[in-house]
Amino acid sequence: MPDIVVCIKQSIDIEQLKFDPSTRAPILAGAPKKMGEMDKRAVEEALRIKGRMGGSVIALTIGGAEVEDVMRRAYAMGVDEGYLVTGPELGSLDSSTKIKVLTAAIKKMPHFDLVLCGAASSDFFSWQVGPGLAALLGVPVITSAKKLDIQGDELVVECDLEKGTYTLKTKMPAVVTTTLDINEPRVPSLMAVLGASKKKAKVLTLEEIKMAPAKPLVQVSSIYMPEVKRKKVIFDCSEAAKLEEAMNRLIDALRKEEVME
Amino acid sequence: MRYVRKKSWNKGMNKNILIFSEDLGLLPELISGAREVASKLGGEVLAAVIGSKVEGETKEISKYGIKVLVVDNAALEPFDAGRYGEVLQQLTVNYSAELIMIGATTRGRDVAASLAAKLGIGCVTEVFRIDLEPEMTFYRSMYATAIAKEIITSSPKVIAVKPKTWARPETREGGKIEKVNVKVEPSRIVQVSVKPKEVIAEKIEDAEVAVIGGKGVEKKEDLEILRHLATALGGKGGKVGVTRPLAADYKWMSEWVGMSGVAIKPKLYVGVGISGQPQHIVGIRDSKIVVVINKDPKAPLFEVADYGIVGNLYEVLPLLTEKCKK
Repeated sequence: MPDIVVCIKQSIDIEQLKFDPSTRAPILAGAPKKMGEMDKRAVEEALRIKGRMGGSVIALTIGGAEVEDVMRRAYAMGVDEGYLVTGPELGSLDSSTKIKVLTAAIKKMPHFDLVLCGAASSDFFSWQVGPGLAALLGVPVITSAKKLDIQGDELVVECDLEKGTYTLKTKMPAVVTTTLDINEPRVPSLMAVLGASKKKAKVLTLEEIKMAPAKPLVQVSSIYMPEVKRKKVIFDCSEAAKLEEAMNRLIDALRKEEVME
Repeated sequence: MRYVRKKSWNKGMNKNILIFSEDLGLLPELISGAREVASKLGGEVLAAVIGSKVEGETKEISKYGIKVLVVDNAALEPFDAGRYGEVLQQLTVNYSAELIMIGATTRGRDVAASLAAKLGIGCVTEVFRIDLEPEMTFYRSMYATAIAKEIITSSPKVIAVKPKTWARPETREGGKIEKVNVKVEPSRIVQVSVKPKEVIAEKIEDAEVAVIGGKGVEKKEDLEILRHLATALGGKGGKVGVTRPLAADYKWMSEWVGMSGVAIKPKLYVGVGISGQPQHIVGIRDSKIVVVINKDPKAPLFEVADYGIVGNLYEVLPLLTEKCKK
């Protein structure tokens, strides 16, 4: 009966993120957020393992006040318990520091066999948390899992890498990171969502996990949308009569651009 | 055989550049990048080749005129990111590395994160450009389509660099090979099986003209309609690809175009029935000319189009193909 800790992140919803047209900087204030797509699959996988084998599922996240939303979502999906490391500056930590904080929080927990997390967050895509956690916890890591089985005290993991599909085994405790391909995460029912709003996560402060706020190891000096100038010549051919003319103009244009044979 | 001595860490004195790639094919381009950085830092470029029975591979690397550190140890088979991180940790300290540059394959990123965590230093992954002035700045993608410029405040620093960031260097004289003995516990991973990726005859990243299908394409057989257009527009250089849902979910192809798949930069990109998720757009951003065909005028892909056709792809494509042939 494995005890599983799932690390989740409230990510910026990049499909809704807007950029300032003049400065080309992201408009982060009030940008919609949601649980990372790969993180959702980590929660789903943990719940499926619990469904098959028993055990427990704890969700863990760090950040400012806004992270309560992501914890409610995890409760609605069905996790047993939530741990929240909060502090005013925790929202903008670099990966290296986040990994330290998550490790300290996991070490506060009574026991774990498996730590699951999304292979990458849906906004930063650093791919660092899983292997970083494993290094600090002193356990093995298998990343980019698309299938996960537990046999006795061993994990059997299938993962897609650049050169092929690998089936790997390792003994628990271990860290596994999940990709989009591992499962289709459940959508919680309205009842589950309402029920989750009553659940309270355990809050850990930096003092409780014996971490002092430190200078960031990585500083973001700027974020911007690269300028790609496109011509945006649009032909409306929703009426079939316009199609012929539009095709002729398009082919003329492509010949002038010298991009077709 | 040289044994690594424990050495006290001279803060601020590190200036060498250590490069590593689990995929040895990426090492030459890392050598090019490391030399650029070394011209500023003034240190030496050292390439680490780590694994079991890897000694044979080292000559190939040393012919680029650099010192290769070989850590050949049966304990390092199969690949275990944590163990590789421990090896690089020792090399970083003992060879006074200021910057550790790692090829950003999946496993490379894992090693980078593991190394950074063990040393308690800053790490930036997915780096595709480095500025050296006024201070060392790493460029990487952020929010899928945007770019972040980042500075690592720690010394040393770890980065994972995207393939094709630099060109391969010319070979030159002066290469050295140094065997290094490192203390490392055996790998904790057991490799049960590996199924190599099938070699794809039609490599979409090599296309001159790339016609890419999205969810607007109703069935797999209809990709033939795209193929006719690709051939009419680009001849042999005209190729067909798909977006992530069509490959990962419907299994119509084994690879897809986009952030998690293949990034392409053809002369001409034609997006057919693609709404335009940010993750797709980032994979086609460097195309010379972008043509978008979609019946939904609100499809976000039109925002990045040079030429757009609002219309039904099943009417547009056959007619366009026909006219191209004339």
